[in-house]
Amino acid sequence: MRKAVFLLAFAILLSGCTFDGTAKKVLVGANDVQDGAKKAFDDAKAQTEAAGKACGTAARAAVPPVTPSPEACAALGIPIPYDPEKLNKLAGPINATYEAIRAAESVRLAWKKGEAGKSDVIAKVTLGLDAISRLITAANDVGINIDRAPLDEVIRKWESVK
Amino acid sequence: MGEREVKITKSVLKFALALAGSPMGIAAITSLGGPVAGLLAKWGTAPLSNVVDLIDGDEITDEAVAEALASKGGRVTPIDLSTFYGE
Repeated sequence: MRKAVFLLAFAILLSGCTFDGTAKKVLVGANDVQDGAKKAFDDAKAQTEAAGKACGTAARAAVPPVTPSPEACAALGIPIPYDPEKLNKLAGPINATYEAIRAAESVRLAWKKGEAGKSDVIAKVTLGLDAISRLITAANDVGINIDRAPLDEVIRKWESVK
Repeated sequence: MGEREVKITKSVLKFALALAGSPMGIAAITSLGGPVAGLLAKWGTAPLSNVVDLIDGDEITDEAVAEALASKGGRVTPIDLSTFYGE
C-alpha cells in the first residue's frame, strides 16, 4: 500500500514536472519565434519605408512628375521591397503573440502559487500557440514562408503533456 | 530597375534561418524575391526545430524563462501609410 502511494505520488510529481517543464520550454521557444518575427518585421519595415521615401522624392522630381505607386517606384528603379499594407497586417499577429506569451507565463506562475488552475495554464499556452499559428499565416501572406511542421511537432508535444 | 544592395541584419538572418522550412517553401519565397529570399534559398533549414530541440532538452528554471521573456521579444508599430511616400 505504501509502495502504491509512493508510486502514485511520484507519478503525480513527474507528471507535474513534465507539464510545467514543457510549458516553460514552449513559452521560451515561442518567445524566440516572436522575437525573430519582430526583428524581421522591423528590418523589413525600415527597408520598405526608406524605399517609399526615396521613391516619393524621385517621383516628385520626375519631369513630368509622376504619382508614386509601387508600379511607378519599380519603373523609377526604386522597387518597394515589401507591400506596406500586407506588412502592416503582420504587426497585429506579432503583437498578439507577444501579449499571449506573457499572459500564459503570468498564469503559469499563478498556477505554481496555487492561484490559478492547471486548466488555465493549458488554455493560455494553447492561446499562445494559436497566436503563433496566426503569425505564421500572416508572415506567409507577406512573402515570408514558414514551415508549419516543426510548430505542429511542438503542439503535438504540448498536447501529450497537458 | 537595376540590382541594388540589400542589407540584411544578423537578426533577420537568424529569423530567416529560424523560419526557413521545406524546399517548396524556399522555392516560393525565392520566386517572390525580396531581401530574405536569397537567404531562405541559401539556408534551407527548419528553424522552429530549435523549439522542438528545446523541448527535448534539459529542464529550465523559472528565472531562465523570466530572463528570456525580459530580454527577447517586443511589440511592433505599423508603417504610417499616410506619409509613406513623404510629404
